[in-house]
Amino acid sequence: MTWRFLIGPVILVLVWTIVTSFGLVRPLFLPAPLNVLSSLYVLLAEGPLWSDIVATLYRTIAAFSLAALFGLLLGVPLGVSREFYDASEFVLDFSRSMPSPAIIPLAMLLFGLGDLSRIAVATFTCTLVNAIQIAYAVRFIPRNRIMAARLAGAKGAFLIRHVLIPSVVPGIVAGWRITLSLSLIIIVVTEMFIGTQAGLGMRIYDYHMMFRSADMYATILVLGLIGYTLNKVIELSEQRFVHWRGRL
Amino acid sequence: MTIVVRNISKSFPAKDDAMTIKVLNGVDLDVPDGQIVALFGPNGSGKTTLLNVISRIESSDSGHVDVRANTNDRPLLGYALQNFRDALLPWKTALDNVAFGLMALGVPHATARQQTNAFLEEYGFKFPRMSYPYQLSGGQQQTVVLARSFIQRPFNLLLDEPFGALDHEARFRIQDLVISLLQKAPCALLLVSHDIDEALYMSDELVLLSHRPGHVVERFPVPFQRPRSHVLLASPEFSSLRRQVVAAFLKEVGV
Repeated sequence: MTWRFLIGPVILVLVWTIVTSFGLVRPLFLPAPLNVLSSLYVLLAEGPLWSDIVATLYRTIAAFSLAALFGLLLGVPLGVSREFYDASEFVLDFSRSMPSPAIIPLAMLLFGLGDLSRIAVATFTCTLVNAIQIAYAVRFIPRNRIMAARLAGAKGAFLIRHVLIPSVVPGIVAGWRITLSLSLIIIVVTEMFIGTQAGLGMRIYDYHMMFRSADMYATILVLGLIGYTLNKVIELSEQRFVHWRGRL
Repeated sequence: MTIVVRNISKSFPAKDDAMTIKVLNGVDLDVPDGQIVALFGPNGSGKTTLLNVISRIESSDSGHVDVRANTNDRPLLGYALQNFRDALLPWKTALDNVAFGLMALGVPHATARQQTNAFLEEYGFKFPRMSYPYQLSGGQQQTVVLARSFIQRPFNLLLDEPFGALDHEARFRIQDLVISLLQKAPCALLLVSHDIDEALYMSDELVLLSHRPGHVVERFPVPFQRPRSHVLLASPEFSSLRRQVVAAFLKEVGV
C-alpha cells in the first residue's frame, strides 16, 4: 500500500514531539517540531533561505555537470584502451580513495576562495567516479552483441550510434546516480570550510555557532529534502530512459 | 547463393595452453542454392564452430570456405547465433529489433519500420511488436531474431538451433514459416538442429557429423516432395529414413 511510507515520518515526529514536550532534551540540542516549522516559515518568508538554496543547487549542478562531461572524456578512452587503463589505474584509485575534504585547502590555494574552489573539489571526486563507471561500461559491452550486430551488417557510425552508445548508457547513468548525491555532499562540506555569502552548508554552520538551533534544524530539513528530490529525479529518469538495464 | 566448404579443420588451445583440442577434422559440405542442409551430430561435434568458420568469425587451420552470390543487391550471408539473446538490443522494441536488420543495410528508420510492419503482417509473425525483449518469452525473443535474419533476405543463411526456445506447436508453425520464407526469397540455408524430426522435415539433405573432432560420417538425402506438411512425420517413409539416421547416430556415439 502506498500510504505506508507515511508511517515512518509520523512515528519520527511523534517521538520527537514527546521527547521535547516532556523536556527530556534541552531545546538547545533539540527544539520542538513546531519551533522548527515556524523557523522554517520565517526563513523562507524573509528570504535568506532561498538564496542559500539557489547557491547550493547552482554549485551542486555545476559540479555534477562538469563531472559528467569530464567523466565521459576520461572514461571512454579508459574503457577502450586496456593499456591506458592499466597505466592509470593506480593514480585513479588513489585519487578516488582520497577523502575530498582533504583537498579543500589545496583547491583554495589553486583556485582562490570563491565558488571555483568549491566546484573544483566536487568536480574532481565526481569525475573519477563517473570515469570508472563509464570505463567499465565500455569495456564490458557484450562481445556477442557487437558480433551479432556486425553479422547483421552494422558497421562504423551506425554501429556506434545504434549499438555501442546505448550499451554504455546504463553505466553512465549509474555514475550519475552516485555523483549527484556525492556532489551535494561535497558542496555542503566545502561551504562549511570555504567562506561564502550564501549556501546551506555555510548557513547550518553559522546557525550552529550562534546557538540558533531551530534555524539550524530547519535548514538541515531543507537540505535533506533537496537531497531526497535529486535522488528521486535520477531514479525516475533511470526507470524512464534505461528501463531495460540489466534485463536481458 | 551457395556455400562450399572444403576440408575444413580447426583446433583450439586447451585450457593449460600446452595442448590443442581438435574440433573439426576435414569437413566437406555443399549447400546449393534454394536448398536446406541440416547439420546433425552429437554435442561437441563442432557444428557451431563450423558456422563460425563459414561466417569468418573464426579462421580455419586448413581448407577453404566459399560463400557465393551472383549479385550484391542482397546481403551475402546471414547468421542467427545460437545464443539469440545476444542478438537482441534490449533498448529497442521487438519491431525496432527486426527493423534494425533493414537499418543496418542502410534503410532509413521510418521506411524500415514500415517495411518491417508489412513483413511481419505478411508472414503472420505473432509476437507483440511494441514490447521490449525483456517483456517477451524466450520463444518470442527467438522469433524476433529469426525475423531480423529473414527480413534481410540474405543469399546464404546460417541458423544455429533457431527454434530451441520454442514449444512444440510454435516450432511446427515456424518451421513451415521458414520454408515459406525461403520460397519467396530463395537462399542456401545451413541449419543446425538437435531435433532429428526437425532436421529431416526441413532439409533437402541431412549431414551427420561425428563426435569431436567433427567430420562428416554420412549424408542422407531427404527425398520427400515439397510442399511438406507435418503429417509427413507420421508416414512410414519418414520413419524409415529416421531409423537409418538414428542407427548411424547411435553407431557414431557408441551406444
